[in-house]
Amino acid sequence: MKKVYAIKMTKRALRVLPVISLSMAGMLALFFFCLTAFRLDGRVKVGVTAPQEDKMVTALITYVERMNEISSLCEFMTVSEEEGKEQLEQGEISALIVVPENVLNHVYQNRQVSIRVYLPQTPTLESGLIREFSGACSSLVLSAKSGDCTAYEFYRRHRIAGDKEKVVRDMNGAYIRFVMLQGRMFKNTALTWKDEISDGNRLQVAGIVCLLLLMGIPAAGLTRRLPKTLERQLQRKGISRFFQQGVSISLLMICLYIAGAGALAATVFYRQLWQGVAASLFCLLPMCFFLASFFYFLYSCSSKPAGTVPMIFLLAVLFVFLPGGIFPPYMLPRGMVQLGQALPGGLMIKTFWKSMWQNRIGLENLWIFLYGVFFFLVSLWIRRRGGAEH
Amino acid sequence: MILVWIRKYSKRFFRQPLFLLLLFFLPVGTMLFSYLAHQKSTAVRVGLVWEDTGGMEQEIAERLMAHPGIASFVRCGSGEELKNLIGEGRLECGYCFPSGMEEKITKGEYEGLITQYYREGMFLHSFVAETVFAAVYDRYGERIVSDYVMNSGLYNIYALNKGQIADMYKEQHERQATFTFTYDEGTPAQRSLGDYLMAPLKGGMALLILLAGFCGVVVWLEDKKKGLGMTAPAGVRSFLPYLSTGIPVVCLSVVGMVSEAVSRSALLSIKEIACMVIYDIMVIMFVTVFAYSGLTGRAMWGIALGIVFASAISTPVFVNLPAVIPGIGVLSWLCPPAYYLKAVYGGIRTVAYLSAVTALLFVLCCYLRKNGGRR
Repeated sequence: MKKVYAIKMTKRALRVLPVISLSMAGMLALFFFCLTAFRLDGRVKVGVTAPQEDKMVTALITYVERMNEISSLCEFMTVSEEEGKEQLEQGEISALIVVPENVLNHVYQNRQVSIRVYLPQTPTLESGLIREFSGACSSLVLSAKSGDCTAYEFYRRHRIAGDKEKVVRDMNGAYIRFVMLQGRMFKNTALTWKDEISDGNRLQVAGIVCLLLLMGIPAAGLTRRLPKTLERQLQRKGISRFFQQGVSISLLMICLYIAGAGALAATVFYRQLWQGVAASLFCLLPMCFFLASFFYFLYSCSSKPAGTVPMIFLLAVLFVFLPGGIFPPYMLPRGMVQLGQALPGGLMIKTFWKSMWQNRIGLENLWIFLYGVFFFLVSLWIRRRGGAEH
Repeated sequence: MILVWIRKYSKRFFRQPLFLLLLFFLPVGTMLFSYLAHQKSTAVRVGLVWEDTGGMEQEIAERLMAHPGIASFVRCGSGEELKNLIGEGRLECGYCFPSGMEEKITKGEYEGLITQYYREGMFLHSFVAETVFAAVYDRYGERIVSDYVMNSGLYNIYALNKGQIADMYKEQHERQATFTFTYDEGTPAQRSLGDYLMAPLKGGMALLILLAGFCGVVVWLEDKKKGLGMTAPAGVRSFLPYLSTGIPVVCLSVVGMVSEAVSRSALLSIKEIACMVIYDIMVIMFVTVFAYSGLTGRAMWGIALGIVFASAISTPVFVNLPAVIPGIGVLSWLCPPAYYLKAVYGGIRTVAYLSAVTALLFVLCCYLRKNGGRR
């Protein structure tokens, strides 16, 4: 009888497997498309509207474009104001900078002038960075202007030779020369640490962990509880709850392992990380066991997907968000990151990274396995107590 | 009669422990996160090393320590300590200023003068470096003008001294408010890092509501398969899919609005509430279109996952990906959260757009229901 039950469940799993595999494949394709596009040109697009006849402004924009660090992060595009606003609304650019006519003349003549920065109405992280960057630019202009004004003022009071134009030329030259030193003034030292994941790698691993967690949504068909009458009939035929749960979790684990191995294969191929294949495939085992037990636990708590599916989505976001997958951890509250790294999501990110990039099997696998055992036992207890009814 | 069925369907959802937990957890979790995100300690931590010689390096460091923004500067005892703190993850990047910096720049020894340490693969140090350079530029600007006045031969240097020049430079600097960057992003106040961390809340809620709509529709499909809908009177029967999707959608919307109000300690505007109501209708119509298209529950989960994932990357929920990857924004045309986010942050035109798409979905829904939806 147990064999018949196992075969029936396998058939059910075979119906779920294509949905899981296809969902994973579709989402992976989209994910890697984004990563590729990011690697090819992951610079934030910024629109600039400037009066074309003003050569000084054009030169200033060219300078900003070539600024040492900014050039690697931002791409400045010249657009008209209307076009820029349209593009900003469509989300095609991250900011629109509108430079008014004769801005530099206004600056030198001490007349009030503002450069308008249009940021997306939806507040995202880039708008914060653009604020930071424009604050630095503003400070540069104001410092140069303070120097100019000081030089004029003293020239007015204590001149003995030369003309005003010479002061203008000399001061501008001196400030521009100093700005040009920026690239040479900083000695960059990148520090690498054995257990440190870079922002890019973390995002990639976190993306895969998130996708694996989202697989709990199509897995509903394998984990949902049978009606009570059917369950009793099965028990009478010698199929215990433990056996039912064991079969369901094993089958779900196999489905998740296939989807996870696909995701790993794509990552290995994409990043050419051939050295960590065996270790990653091994690490995927406790991960899939944990995920299968966890999904089984969630579906034990609710007979309808109304609570379970949004909960899985929320947990997927939280597991990836808390250890700093989407926002880097250094931007998040410290306590929250520490908590996140002790939760299964954080452990999964770490173990994936260790196995794929360093070909190491970390202690995190044991913790993930223990989490799996915990959820296995809890769901067994819930179902024994009656759990969620159909 | 319809009220009886609303009660029946509400009961089905409210008897799910996880659904109730979700409704409780969202506002509480948001409040907690908002509290943590707005703490002073939540900032990009940057270390500075300098010696107390009263020189330019000390002034630059002090200016940076008082700098508002997403980076928070702290002092470290030595370069080694700075490196260790970066290694331990307690600092993100750091700068070592040498002593006698001003003289070194004047002598032309500026090559590699400031050592910048950062963790490999971290991108934010680029923005911090601009802030640091702006502070150096600001302080050294004083020296540039002073040297010019003293050495250009254009001035009567016997009538003035360096202290006067420095005072004048500072006075000019303080007086200047003529050149500014004016930001136009709806909220004119300076946002903190915590505000940016809370920003995905609105988009995240929109995604959850969409997912709740899909859950409702799957419940209805299961009921339909079991023939439960047949027990309802003919007049009510056609409303069952809307009821099944509407109840979780409305519950999550209410909880979402409460969470948002709790996180920013302010009530939502009428426009925000109106947009949420229209969005709810839009989600109900959107998922019901799929329900009428004859898909099974299993396929529905695949579609739900695809649409939620596409929404998460093509709309500015977490980061504005369409501004980095051209073309990905096209996907957002298929995603209801994109219309909602545009409407809620945009002008009246975007609200009209949201309403128009909702109306279109309603017409499509009616059409599908009349032509085969009852199969």
